Amino acid sequence: MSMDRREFLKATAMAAATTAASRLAYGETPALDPSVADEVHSRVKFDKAPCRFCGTGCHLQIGVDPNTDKVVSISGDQRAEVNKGLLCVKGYHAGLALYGKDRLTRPMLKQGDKHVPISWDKAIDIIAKRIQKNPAGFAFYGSGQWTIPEGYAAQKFTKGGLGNNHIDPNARLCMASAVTGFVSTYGVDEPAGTYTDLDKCDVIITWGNNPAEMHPVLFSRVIDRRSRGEKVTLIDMGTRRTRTTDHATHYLQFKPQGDVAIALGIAHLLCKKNTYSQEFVDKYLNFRRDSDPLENPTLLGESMTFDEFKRAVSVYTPEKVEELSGVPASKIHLLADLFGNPDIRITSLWCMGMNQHTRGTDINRLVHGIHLLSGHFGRPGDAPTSLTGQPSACGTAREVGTLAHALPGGRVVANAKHREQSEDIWNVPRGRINPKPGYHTVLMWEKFSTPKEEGGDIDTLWVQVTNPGHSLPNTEKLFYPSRKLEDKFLIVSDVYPTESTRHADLILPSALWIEKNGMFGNSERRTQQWFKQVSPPGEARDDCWQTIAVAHRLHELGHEGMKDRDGRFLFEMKDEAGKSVPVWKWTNYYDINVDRALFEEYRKFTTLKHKNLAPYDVYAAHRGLRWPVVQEPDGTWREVQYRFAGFDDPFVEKGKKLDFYHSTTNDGRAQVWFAPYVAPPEVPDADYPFWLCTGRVLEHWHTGSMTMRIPQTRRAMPNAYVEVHPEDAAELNLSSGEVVIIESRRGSCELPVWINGRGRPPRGSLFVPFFDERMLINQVTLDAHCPISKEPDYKKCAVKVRKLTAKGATDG
Amino acid sequence: MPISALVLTMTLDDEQREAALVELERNPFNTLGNLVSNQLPLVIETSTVAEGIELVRDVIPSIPGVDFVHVISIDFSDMSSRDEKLQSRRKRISDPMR
Repeated sequence: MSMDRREFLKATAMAAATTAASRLAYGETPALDPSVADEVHSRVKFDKAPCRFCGTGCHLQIGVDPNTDKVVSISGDQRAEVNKGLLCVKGYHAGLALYGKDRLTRPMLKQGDKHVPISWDKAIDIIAKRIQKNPAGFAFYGSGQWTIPEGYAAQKFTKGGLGNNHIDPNARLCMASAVTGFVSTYGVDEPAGTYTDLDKCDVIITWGNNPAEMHPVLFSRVIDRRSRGEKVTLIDMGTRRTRTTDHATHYLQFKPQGDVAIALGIAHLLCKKNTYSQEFVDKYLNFRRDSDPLENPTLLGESMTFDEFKRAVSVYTPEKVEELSGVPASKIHLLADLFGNPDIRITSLWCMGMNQHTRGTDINRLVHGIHLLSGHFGRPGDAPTSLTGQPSACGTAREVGTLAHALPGGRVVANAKHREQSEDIWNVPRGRINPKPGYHTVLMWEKFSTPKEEGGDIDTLWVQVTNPGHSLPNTEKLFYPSRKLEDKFLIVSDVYPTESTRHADLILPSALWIEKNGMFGNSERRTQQWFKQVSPPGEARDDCWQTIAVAHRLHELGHEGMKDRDGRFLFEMKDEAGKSVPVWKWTNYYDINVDRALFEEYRKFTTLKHKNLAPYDVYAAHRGLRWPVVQEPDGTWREVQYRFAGFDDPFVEKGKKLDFYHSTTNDGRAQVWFAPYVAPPEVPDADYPFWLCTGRVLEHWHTGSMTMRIPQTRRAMPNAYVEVHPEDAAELNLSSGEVVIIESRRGSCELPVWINGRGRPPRGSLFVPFFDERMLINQVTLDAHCPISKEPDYKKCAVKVRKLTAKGATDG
Repeated sequence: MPISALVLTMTLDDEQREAALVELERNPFNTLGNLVSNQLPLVIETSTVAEGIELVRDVIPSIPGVDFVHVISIDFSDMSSRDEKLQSRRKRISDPMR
């Protein structure tokens, strides 16, 4: 077969679309026309990889032209269960994220006001000597974009090598409240259900969540079910109308923080109408509360009886909830009646709306609680499911445990037995791991921004795979002050210039996504693997190599922590013949598969809390597997879709329908929590009369450092904006496109106005997406955080709006 | 460029679906595949990036009878030579006024 280039491209596009159409219509994948398949594979080399962006975990087929060593094509992976061949606008342009013209390609050291190129050897030496001088003053700040092996290496280096627990991910800013919600309810983190619930449920409730834009491939499952004639009731609860609202059966608009009252109101009506599940109450549940929820809330709390629980929630009548939340009492009855109906299946979805919340742990616990109390749990379609915003927030931050208090495999530093288990797997001396939790994100940056003589005991901070100068809340307090303190040294590993690299003392150029081997873990417990497919530009190198290289330089400098019990280097690795490979040298890094070596060591941790993972090579052959992954008698590896459910989870005691085998009360029961409604820490007043909510848009991912380099996504959404209600705009004499200043008690930001835009906030409320580095809205946001999860609230603070009229002058 | 592969979820209403198919066929950028149940494979080929975005984001979803647009793939192997120039990424929005 012979065809010109355009015909060939169109034929392959039509083949991909036809295959996807068949999958959507019938759930079947037809065979590709063999002549087209031959043509495709003769010109382009295809391989799988999970998407680089959000936590959905779509698999891509990436086409690389071997002659140019560049990505030339992206398709949704037809064999991937997550996305069934589909992608969103970010996913199908993901390959272009590699090719922005300003990729960082050399290490750069700040000298005066400029960054000047230096060698890798010098850069590694500078970092190692600073750490050697004061190991306790070092902190590592990463993210849910660390691959699993990268996060594991950083974790081992910091906690197992330096004996220092100051390591935390930016995931603290996005899903820490989900973690504390799961842990205090079930005794173990991460959702019990999976995306399959979206295919099985009758009702979907989005709690302050906008999956139509933030997780569009998942949301398309709902659209497709409806297009096949299935009835799916979608109840959208939010503080502003979004694209999800456009598809909703019911839209319930609540006042900021009103979600807590709504959940309490549902619990009250379930009790009052006796529509709760007696079976769950009798067999599977305990009831808990915090004795001091305002001043000293905890993960464990204290027990209460079901009668005490009923009395506690009885205050939250539908009328009281209407007063607190703004949602009509009739709608609270509607929700309670749905939960009270055992014949339907209900899936709750949430993401940042519930997590970035000063009562984040409480609202997470309450939503789990109403599912459990009503018995809407443990059947396909009945699930409380949190979604994540980063590709490996679950796989790395939560499972590897790159949090200041955690160790891999659900271990915690404060537990002596857990420390010993970890020290044994790492083969480091007893007592190496510090029992005191390190600084969580907000505290870490506060300590870095505070002079040493005033208690700021972090002096060297290394950032990998994230952009805190843009994404931290209240950056005027947490980020910029350190830049004026001479003894504070900021190292940033990244792929592009950002607000963080701009202010860094040392910049390290990193390999991105398929320029290196990697593994991610998505929102539904699915562990995914990919191989390096193209070369990184210039001198850009893997983040994992950077960590190991610094560890080895410290080893050369005589740092005892970089040795194991037997005096060997902490990251010693061997080839198949048993010969040591100097992986700290870049020229030797790919002599072996470092990811495989690190993952196989990490895997030993995963059985300790029933989060069992399969061997590395099993993941290489699959489009991800959902843990726990257990080996069958025939040697195959089986994933688990429904944790704690006897029909699927192998760790449930035989004969039991449900078994919460990590129960914090050691009786196989989950905890249903009571938490009172608490007002937000800052509310609009005469001086600052508007609510401000921040978030994301479909076209851009987080701080936009990658998607703003992709011409298509940048053109589709070229800059940030502030959504204003038309009546507020009329009152302030604003029109779309005019620039205003949004100002809080902490800082200000200039933005163009968008009236009747994509999202529609109610009167008195504004929305600003945070992706645009020219408009840093986090100079305005609040750093108040949940007292348990320490996750800040980016969703509500008080601001005023002033019209920018001319040359810096304002009115209004 | 670019060439994009889409699947359109079409309405179950026969009359409205037929009208939508006629309108889609009328657009010279579009190549329609064979309808699979109510899922329509579609390839669009535009001369500029902006045209492609407008089609996928605005024009096609607004056709009565098109319930949803799934984007399946995009080829950008020679996009860099065709892409329009973009404004400076670092320019502050209000700078021109200062």
